[in-house]
Amino acid sequence: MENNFTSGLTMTESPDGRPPARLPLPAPQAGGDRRAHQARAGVLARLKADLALDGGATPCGGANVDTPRNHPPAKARAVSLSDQTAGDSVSRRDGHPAWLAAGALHDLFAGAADGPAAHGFAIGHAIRIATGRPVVWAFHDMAGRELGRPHGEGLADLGLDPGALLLVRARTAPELLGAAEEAARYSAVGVVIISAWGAAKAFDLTASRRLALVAARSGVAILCVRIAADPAPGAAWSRWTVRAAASRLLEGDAPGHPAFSVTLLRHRGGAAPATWILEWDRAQRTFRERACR
Amino acid sequence: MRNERFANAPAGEVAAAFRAADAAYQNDGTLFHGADALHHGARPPRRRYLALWFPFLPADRLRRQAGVSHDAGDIAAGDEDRQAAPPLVFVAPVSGAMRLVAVSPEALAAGLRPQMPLADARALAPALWVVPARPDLDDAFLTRLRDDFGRFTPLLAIDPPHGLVLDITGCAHLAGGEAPMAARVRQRARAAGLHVHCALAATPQAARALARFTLAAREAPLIVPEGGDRAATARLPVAALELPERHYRTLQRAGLKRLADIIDRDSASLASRFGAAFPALLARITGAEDIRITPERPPPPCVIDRILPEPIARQEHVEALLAGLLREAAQRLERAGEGGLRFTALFYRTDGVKRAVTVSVSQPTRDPALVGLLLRERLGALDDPLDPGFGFDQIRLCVDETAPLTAAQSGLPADILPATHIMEAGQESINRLADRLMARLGPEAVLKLCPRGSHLPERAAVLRPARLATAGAGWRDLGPEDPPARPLHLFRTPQPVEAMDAAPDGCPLRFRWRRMMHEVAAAEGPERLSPEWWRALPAAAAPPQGATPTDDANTLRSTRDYYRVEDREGRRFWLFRPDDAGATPRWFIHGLFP
Repeated sequence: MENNFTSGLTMTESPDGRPPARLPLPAPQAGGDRRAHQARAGVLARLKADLALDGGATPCGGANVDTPRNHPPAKARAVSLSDQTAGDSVSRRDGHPAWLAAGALHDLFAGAADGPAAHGFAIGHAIRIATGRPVVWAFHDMAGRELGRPHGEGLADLGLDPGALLLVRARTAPELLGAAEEAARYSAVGVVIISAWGAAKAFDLTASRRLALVAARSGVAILCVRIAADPAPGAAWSRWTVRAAASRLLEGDAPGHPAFSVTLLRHRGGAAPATWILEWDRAQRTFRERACR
Repeated sequence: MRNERFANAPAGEVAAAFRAADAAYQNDGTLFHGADALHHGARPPRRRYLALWFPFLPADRLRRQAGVSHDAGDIAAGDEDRQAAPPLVFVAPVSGAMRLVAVSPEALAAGLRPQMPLADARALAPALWVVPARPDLDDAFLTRLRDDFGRFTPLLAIDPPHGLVLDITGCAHLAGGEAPMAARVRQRARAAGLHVHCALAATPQAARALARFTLAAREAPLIVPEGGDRAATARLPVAALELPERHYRTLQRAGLKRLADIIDRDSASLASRFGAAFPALLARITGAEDIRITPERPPPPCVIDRILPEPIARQEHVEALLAGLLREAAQRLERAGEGGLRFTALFYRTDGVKRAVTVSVSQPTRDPALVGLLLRERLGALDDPLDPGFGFDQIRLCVDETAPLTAAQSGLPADILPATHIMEAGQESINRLADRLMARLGPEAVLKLCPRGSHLPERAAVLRPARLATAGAGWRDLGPEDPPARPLHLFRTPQPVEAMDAAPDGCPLRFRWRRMMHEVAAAEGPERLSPEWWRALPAAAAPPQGATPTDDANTLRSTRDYYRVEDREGRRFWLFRPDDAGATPRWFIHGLFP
């Protein structure tokens, strides 16, 4: 666990010079006074960040600094290269809410026809966050039937090493959630992706809260992709809807790189709801922002 | 562990007994022969077999089924009881006529015999209870009996018809000797409501012949002392050889009534008259030659038992007992420098039901805490939970599969911490995660993608259970600026689409899939993929595994032209057109791009 997630504000503003709180989420089961104190420091930091946001920061602006971040090694190059391209790298702005944080639960909702897009978006983030660590992809059998099974070559084409992927098939939603929670307890895992199909009673606030707590404690990012389900409240750090977006065509009118239209519905870091068109850049392992067309 | 008291032997002795059984099998590739053979001396013990015969198995089965309870005493009850029940016979059509194939003790007493025509039987006993024979149910019942009698020895086999053979070499002292062992086996059968004959001898064939052809085996176990087989079997009638009818008649006509009459004859002349196998058969029955029984399952490399004097039913007792068994298994595995890959816990219920729970691990281990945790997970995830009924009176742990594990493995205390504990990083813990998920969801639910070095998409990457996954050929590289050439999701069976406005050699402008119309905005192709001709012939003979031999599956056998297509909504598809001679080209969707 090197610099997987450090809260920007707590790093600069540790109230008493102690090491900054590791987790921006309150950790109710933290043992010992010291950790409880740190948890309080984290809450304080977030409140301060919220205040700063009220002071006129845009959702994409740098003021929104409480988002836990990840700094992959390729990041520096990504910045310089993406300057020359038409797109704008999301990674350039540290506080960008579309830069999904490690150590948190993120809910991604998609319509039945946009399942592959939501998965592509999740895999892009998994590549970015996991940085070589194993990725666990737990999918409901129903999702596998409706969308087809995950294809190794396609994953490799997106930039994820299929050998680093552990696929878990679950027959029921409770099995799916149980397997995901189990996997998220292992901090050796980089990212856990959950693929659920349809509305299920099992995805309630309790389940969401459990996943969020496990993610916060282990530092594993959990991306919960819910296809053919309506956005519902939960304990996730951020909540999104994902749709496929038209790609920038290559020469000869060939379809281009994967593009997504993502809408932020809710963000605990305080970012305002907004929509972005993002394009996955495999070479730089990053998403590039594109103007809506 | 309060209930963990042992019938006639403390824990150490129980284990020692199975070590003895292992040592006895040192020539059969058993794991622990090295140390234990030394321990028990170089000479392997003479083998001892206990044959059981259930002469009225169908009738006893029906009685059990009908809920007529039998104590051991009921069977031996007086004649008045026996006459109360009507004679029960089992019939089946034999060469066009209904004949008896099995009878009950009452029917036997009334003079009814197997092979008798049903009409004759009715004449002899007018009040007859006639039931169609069900050999399949008899076999199933016998299999259940075999599973239950597996509590006495790991080596046993069904001895058709209606019999079992138990190899009790090295196990007898568990019950305090051969005679008490045989008595316990017999008692168990009687308690299950079965008539039983049993005999103990040095070869399976001798024990079988003595059990089935002596009256002494009916009342009490007939135990042939070591070396006494020849004398004991010499008194048997020649029918005990179970020869074909014509050979039997030949012997009768020659006045040879007992085995004693033929034992000493010249084996060459016997072979010329009764076939080359006859001298060997005679030698086996008289205890001169031992060919082992073939147990249903080869004995696992490591077996540890707990025989309980009184049944236990509470989960914590069962878990404590399992923990003890696992610790002992760990010690034995460590001595052998091995680690277990598959562990089975067998629960024997007092009423004869056996339940097995198996867990596998991806890397050899002998960590009792880890295996115990996996077993608990498995027990917790069973579709029908472990029902103790009136309790388990024996619990057995088998290590079914082992692999060398020389380095002493450090303990993983983290794995037994409560479920909210966070595991620290390391490749080791990924394997542990896979093991736990497999224990919970089943081994086929945890998968890895393996490359297979094929250009056909359906063969290029296969999903294999994580514990079988192997590193194969590498994955194909893509140019840095190229968009993905293969879809993220691939359908096992391509799905047909209704294509419209397709140019003769081009991509359709519109297509309908799952009742939704898609307007094509951009397309790239065709990319032509030909079937692998070096595999084509066998593949054409048999449909691909798992696919139904439908028209859609057949499309995967022809040359295909693939197009990457994007619709106006921005959704990307992988369409193809099989290159077949059909008048109207058919189109299929094979995968979905993000």
